[in-house]
Amino acid sequence: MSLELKEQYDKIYTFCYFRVKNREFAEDITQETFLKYLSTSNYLEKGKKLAFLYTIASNCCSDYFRKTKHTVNIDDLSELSEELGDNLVTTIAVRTAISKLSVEEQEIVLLRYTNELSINEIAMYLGISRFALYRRMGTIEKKLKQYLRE
Amino acid sequence: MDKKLKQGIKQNFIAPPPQRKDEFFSNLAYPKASFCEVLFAQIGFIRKRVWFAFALLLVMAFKSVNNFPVPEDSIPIISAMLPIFSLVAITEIYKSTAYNMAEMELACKYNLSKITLMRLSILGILGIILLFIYVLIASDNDFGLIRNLVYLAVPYLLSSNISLFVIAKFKNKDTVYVCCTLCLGISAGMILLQNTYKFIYSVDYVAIWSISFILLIALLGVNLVIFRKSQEELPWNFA
Repeated sequence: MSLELKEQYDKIYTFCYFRVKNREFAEDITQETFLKYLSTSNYLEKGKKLAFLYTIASNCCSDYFRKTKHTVNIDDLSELSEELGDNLVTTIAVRTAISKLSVEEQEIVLLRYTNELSINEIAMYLGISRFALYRRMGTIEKKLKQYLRE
Repeated sequence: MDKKLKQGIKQNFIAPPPQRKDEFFSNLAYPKASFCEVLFAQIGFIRKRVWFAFALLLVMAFKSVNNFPVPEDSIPIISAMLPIFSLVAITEIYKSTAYNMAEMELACKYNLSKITLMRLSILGILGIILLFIYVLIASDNDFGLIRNLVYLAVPYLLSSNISLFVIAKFKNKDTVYVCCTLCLGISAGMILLQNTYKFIYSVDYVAIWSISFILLIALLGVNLVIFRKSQEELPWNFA
């Protein structure tokens, strides 16, 4: 199969983690995503693989919110702040700015700059045109710069 | 977006490392293609020239049957065509070795010897189809179906045996030229038989033809085993 599963595992895990904010649940959802993805073998040969993978992950996260009471693991957060290290001030400023964006905008930022998905793949996942995505990204950038200046 | 902001965004989305990743992948059952899917996929990898040769040899057989006033005379000519198909088939099989198709093996759950044997089976079936069509084309003579089959199959089996043996024993890119010389030699020999030694198609020699036919089939089995073992010797064939 052409997708590098191990590499995608980390990215899907990051995607899920920032949805559910809990390491255990994020990893469960990631694994469920891959099992569902691999069980639909007909799609593997011809589909839009990454967009499909993220759609499954997104649906699994939605299922998680529907079924369970949402909890944030404090240990995970303290571990995260240790990893921020030297750039703590910058990162906190960016984090504050990102937190002011809508959930969908935050997701676009994560997909584009952390998971490094192409414009095409993000557009396919969101079900919008590339031009619409470019416009949204332009808006997001403007908002981020404005929040950072405040 | 400037680099600093991009870096800041990346830092923002750092998740704690996953803990069950290796365990998950070690237990994960990847979807695998079935044997039939792989076998049919191999048909697509057979080069167009093989199919073209198959069609051309059929047309030539039809033409040659019509050109001989005595039907029996067409047998050596038609039987001379089968080693050419054998040669085309062998070059097809040999390309796996000649081009070191390790990447094919790495991407596949079947090892190279299995893949080449699959392809060899497809080409063998194709050769048998061609042989039976030739038998039917040439059946308009006094030899009868069985004798026709034996007369046509012997040169084909002989060339297949020799080619398989050669590519199993000698592993360099020039081997295919050796096969080419031998197969064309057998073809030329069959045409020579038609002109000079026509008597060997008489009833007196049927026993020799039949014994040769049986021996060559047995030898083909042996050569297939040798060929398969020779594929396992390849340094990158780990499976």
